[in-house]
Amino acid sequence: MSEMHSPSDATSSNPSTENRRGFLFAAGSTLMAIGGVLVAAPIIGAAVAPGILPEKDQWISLGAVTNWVPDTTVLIKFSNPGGAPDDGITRENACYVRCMEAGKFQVFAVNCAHLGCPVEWFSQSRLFMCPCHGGVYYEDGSRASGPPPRGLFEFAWRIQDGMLEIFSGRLPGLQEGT
Amino acid sequence: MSALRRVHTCVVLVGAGCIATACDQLPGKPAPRLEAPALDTAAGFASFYGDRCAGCHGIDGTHGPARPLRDSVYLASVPDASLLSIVRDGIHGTRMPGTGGASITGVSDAQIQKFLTGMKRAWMSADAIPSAIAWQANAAVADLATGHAVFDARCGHCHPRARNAAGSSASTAGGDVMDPFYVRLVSDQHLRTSIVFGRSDLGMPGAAGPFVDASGARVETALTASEVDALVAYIASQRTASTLTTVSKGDAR
Amino acid sequence: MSRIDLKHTALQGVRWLDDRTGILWVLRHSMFHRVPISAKWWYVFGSATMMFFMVQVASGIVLAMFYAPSAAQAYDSLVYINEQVPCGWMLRAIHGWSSNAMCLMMLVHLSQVFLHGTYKYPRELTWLFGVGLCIATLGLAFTGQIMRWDADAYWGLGIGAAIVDRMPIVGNEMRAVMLGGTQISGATLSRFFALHVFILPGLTVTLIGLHLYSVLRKGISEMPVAGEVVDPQTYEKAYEARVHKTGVPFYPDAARRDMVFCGAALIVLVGIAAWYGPMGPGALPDPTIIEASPRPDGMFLWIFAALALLPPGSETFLLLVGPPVGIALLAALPFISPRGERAPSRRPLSVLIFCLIATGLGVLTWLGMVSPWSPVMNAWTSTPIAPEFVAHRSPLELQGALEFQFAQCRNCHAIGGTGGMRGPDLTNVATRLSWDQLVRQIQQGGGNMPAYGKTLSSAETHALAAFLTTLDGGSLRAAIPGAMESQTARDAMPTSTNVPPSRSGD
Ligand code: FES
Repeated sequence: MSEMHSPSDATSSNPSTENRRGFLFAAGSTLMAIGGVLVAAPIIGAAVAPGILPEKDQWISLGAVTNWVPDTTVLIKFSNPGGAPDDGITRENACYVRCMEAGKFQVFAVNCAHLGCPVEWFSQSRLFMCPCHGGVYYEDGSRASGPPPRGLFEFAWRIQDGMLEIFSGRLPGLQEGT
Repeated sequence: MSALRRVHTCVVLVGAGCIATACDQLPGKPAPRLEAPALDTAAGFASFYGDRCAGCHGIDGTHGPARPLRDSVYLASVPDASLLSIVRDGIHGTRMPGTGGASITGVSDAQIQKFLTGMKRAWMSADAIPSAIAWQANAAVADLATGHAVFDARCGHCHPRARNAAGSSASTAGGDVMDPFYVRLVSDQHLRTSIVFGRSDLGMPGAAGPFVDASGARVETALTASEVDALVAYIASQRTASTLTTVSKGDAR
Repeated sequence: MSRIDLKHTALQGVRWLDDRTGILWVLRHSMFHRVPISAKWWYVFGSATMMFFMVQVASGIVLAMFYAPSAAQAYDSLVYINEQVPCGWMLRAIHGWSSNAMCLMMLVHLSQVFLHGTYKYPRELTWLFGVGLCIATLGLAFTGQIMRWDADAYWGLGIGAAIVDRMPIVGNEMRAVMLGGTQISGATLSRFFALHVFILPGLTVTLIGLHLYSVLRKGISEMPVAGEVVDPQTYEKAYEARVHKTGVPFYPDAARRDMVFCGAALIVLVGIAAWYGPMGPGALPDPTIIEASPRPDGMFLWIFAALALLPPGSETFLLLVGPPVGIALLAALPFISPRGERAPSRRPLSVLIFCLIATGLGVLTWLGMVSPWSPVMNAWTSTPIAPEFVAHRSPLELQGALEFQFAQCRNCHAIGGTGGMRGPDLTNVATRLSWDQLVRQIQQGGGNMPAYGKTLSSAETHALAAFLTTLDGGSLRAAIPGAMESQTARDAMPTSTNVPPSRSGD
């Protein structure tokens, strides 16, 4: 060990060598940095892309408007518009359609406004109840009791060519402020 | 040392062997995922009934607040098609919800039919005779006076009017069926079903009797169809006869 | 070849290996390093944690040979492992229970280190790596629950996503990164699969290496002795002198206890796995089946309970700030208190904090198991009213009982001990509430009960109240005729003339 010298010690007196080494080191680290960024970009990009790319909500048809009987609330299935084949049954999704009178609707997400558990509709007491922490909502989606900070999330809806359509695609969340 | 080692080896080998070969005999092996038992089998019927009906119709088909279903005569008298429609759609305006229909959670007609078969297998004796009196009204003309008379003769003893009942012994009484709130809440069909089939679990006779008359004597004669019609009409007439008092009732027991 | 020759060759082989690798030096400083003589049974839990981790790695690798990490197939592949793969269910059982065991051993180890003040000078880094391991282990447990890809996993992800979503500004983006999209889907499972089998195990292995290295470098701590204070000036010299004088080689002296404990723990593990079998998979992860009541695994029940009990106003703040602050405090511990007494008997504050945290977690876990705040979703159709509450009721009262079930009151209220626990048990409600109070409570709700005024007609309310007034626990019914008649003289407001003499004195 003792007779080993650091290479720069041996030649430190020669300024041109010094310069060349300095340049090589600078060039090396720059190249490494560029290469590293070039390699890292697609790797990290692919990992976080879902968060950066704009989220695409779409109009999804739930069926003919005439399907709904006034003064009822029913659970309706639909498929996530952006789903992939390997989503299996998790591609399916559900929402509650409340028909107040012919042509007037409210469409609620099944996800509790507290932390997203599936709320269940009880037509007898006209309440939605959440199985997780006991959140309860009235039939118009407003909060009745329990931990939820607000009423049920609602989807925008429209009637297009006699079909009821909702604007959906994202898991609803508190950030949306709907 | 070598003896100990041999014991070691034996234990290890036996243990490994047991685990490897006897995996399928161990208690932790999960039961294979079978299809749920069909609803017309005893197990299938019991679990469906227990999950969806027992809350109101009673744990064993008796002693619930709603009509007992463990009732041979009732099950023999009501046609399958009506039972099916009751279970599928519920009875509108009453406390009987439907379990079928087109919603995601709806039970198919075929399943409901199986369930009804299961119920009859479990709770209807093979020799059950349908009630002599039709389970549904046939639009006969209501005769309130007859109804009043029959009520006093057959029902009044157990079902005294609450406001005249000051000193009656509560233990045998069936309670006031003419309570304006009660008659408001129930349908004529409910009244009729209760009169025709009774509630044997709670000690109430059906149309076949026996009854107790106003003096406390036993009456064996069964009600006739027209008497049942009249009774239903008489009790139902209380809906309009009496105005509802306010909900507040300061003099609760 | 004779015995001597064999020995000679073996020795040569070892020498060759040592020359190329330096293995003997490594062994001398690891296997045979000297540990304090007082390091006895308290010191086995760390080894046990690591052993269960190795079980996890081994069983996990084989499970990965059968598991299909695709949302469309994961569930079926688990059923296939349970039912078709020879001993497959046992493999899943071992992996599941060993995960619980690993968490448990880690917590015991953590508690012991905390209570014995082992984190103090000069073992701060050992503690830090340990805190990292604690987080990694819990992360493995959580992502492992997601691998089960059943309804609990699906809605558990939903809860996780909802918490992440509450972050200010970046919440939505973070949630999308977590889920791999805007919905819980196949991409989510793939993400958590990568976490569970690559990222977190890699992190764990690295941290275990660093943790062990720092243990070797700064030595295993001695059992704390009251009065022996850690002083950074003198501690290391004194420690080394003591270990040099009285220490024993780790192998075989201290390792003996580790081996006994770990061996026994393994046997218990296999016993539990064989007896109780694998966990799940439960109901299908179908978002349209809303009759689910999602529950997390045992290790996370306390969080589930906390989520139900946090005050809604400060919930988001506590959810987002609580965990980082908690972890930061844990990590900062050796820098907050680097010196001084190590013995629990001289550190009452630490013992108190420990007891509070342990009790808190225990109570929350228990609450999470019972989850009294959750309505029992099918109680109204499945939980009968006991015959004694039906017998001798008037038609109106029976109708009220029907209303009680029909309006889902039962989902939150028990009668006779059965039914939901969210609201009060109503078996004796008539002894607490008068008719008017009952009607008011039904119509207006309040105290976390929804108002039924818009739902129930006055006749329905009347029937319901009539039924509820019969729920007097048998105590109000007058056995003697006339006993309940109003006694006007006594019911009157006390006046100066009719106050009983015994009362006027106080
Ligand atoms: S998720 Fe519904 S109350 Fe918490």
